[in-house]
Amino acid sequence: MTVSSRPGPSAGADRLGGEQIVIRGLHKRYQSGRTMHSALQDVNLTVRTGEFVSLLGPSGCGKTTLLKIIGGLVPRSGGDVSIDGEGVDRALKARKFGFVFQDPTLLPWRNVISNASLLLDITGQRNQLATVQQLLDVVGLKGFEGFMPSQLSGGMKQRVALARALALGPEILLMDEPFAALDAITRDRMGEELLRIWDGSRTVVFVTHSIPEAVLLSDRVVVLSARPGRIRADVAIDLPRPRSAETRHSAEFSKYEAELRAHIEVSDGAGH
Amino acid sequence: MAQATDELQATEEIAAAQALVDPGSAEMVAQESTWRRALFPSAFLLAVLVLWEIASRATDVPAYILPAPTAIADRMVRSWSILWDHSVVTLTEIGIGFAMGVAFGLALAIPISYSAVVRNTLYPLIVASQAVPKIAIAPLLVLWLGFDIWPKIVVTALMVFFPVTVTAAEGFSSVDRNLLDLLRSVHASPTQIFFRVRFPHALPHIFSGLKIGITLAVVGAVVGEWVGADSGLGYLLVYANTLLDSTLLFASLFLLIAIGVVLFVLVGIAERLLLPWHQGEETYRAA
Repeated sequence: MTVSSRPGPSAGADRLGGEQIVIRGLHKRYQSGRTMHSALQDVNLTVRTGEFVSLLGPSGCGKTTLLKIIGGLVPRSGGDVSIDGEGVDRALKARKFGFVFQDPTLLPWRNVISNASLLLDITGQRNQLATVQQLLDVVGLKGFEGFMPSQLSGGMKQRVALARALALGPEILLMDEPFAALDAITRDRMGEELLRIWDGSRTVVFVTHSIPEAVLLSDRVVVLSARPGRIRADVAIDLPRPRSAETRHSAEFSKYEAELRAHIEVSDGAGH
Repeated sequence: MAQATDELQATEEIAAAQALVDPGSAEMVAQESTWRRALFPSAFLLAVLVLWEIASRATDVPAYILPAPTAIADRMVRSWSILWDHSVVTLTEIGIGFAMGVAFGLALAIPISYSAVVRNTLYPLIVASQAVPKIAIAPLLVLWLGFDIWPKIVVTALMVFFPVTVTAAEGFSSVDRNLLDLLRSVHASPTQIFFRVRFPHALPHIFSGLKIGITLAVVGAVVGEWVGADSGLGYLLVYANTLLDSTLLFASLFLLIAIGVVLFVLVGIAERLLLPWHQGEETYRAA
């Protein structure tokens, strides 16, 4: 996700690097009251460098938990997670992760540029203002540097959150339903914008419950079932890149949508 | 002379009523929303005072039962130097007591919002402490701290700390979970998280506590003075009462009310100056 614009990634798997995120036999159990809940059961997943993988499933299927375990924000109950062959903690220390959540979680007392540079501030890299300025241009917020969050629309706030996540130059972007709170039109546009910004240059794990969003963005869509969360299907989306709004109208797009919907319905049935 | 004051007041009343009706002057008022907000309560207060004046003139209720507003105003002017001296004493108590209460309240809110053990241990006791009538412990404080300014300051601080503690603890602990995760992901220190996020996030909450606290501070100072003092507006109230000098009593009371209102407005102004972003948030939500 370099700042300079460059030709889009090629369609095939030659864009992708080696295995970056490797998850083996992952379990996550929660205690609520006296009963133990199994949030995730025997999850095995590999994500290659530069790959855009969506975790798709109904609410409560543990996809957010899985994302937070990958990012080291939630401890796992069993199994292994490695990032570039190392533990999650080391990856966290090396600042390999950038996070974007459903809620933009901006600080209302800081303006746009100050919010985007929050993590640089915390890590004592205050001299990176030019980088942040460039990132704001990339996410389409040029000219809004001095605006306060209360003056921004939901989509613009999420752009600031994206710039904030990118400011530390993470190798892996972990996004938890970042566009779920936006209206349908803004949501579609933000998806297309994300593709443009991402440009195939880094690994993204993207949690969503929207099938078209998953198809448009992803190299692979991993379908999770609910209670306990298990991987039901792992579908490679072999649509040519760069993708755009037009991609949505292709026959293949609809075919992938139908396939994923079938997987979700099966997993729903199995969940009950 | 009394007749003239009466007529003057009536003229003012008419002017106020005209301001309400006349579109031209109403527009001028609307330019300044603060004035507009003050207009209705002021007009209402004026109406009450006029009715009060009329009632006390129409009936022969003696002044020691209920003095006329004009008589109170007259007394305020004539006894201004005494009233002012006592006001300074009370204001000092309010100022120091408020500052101490706020400092103590904030200091208490930090461990309460960080530690469940501290919260579960202290919170019920703090709530229980608020059920104790301050007037009941004020004599004890005089016994412990002496006859000077300190018992009054302590009573004031005891009144102020509670709303500050409750609102600040609420503010410190209501930061978005994901935001805290994000900060932890870059290994932000607890100090960084507190000063960059928790404290500014809590400020609007804290200001709600300060607004409640400043009005309670006035009550606290007066209660402290009632129990044992030789100066202050609270002392003057008691003193005037023993002399059946109700005019002086009301003069002190009105001054206390004025002090309370002015201090409350000052806290509100401080809030608007310090937290312009919060104002923006509210406007956005309202829109």
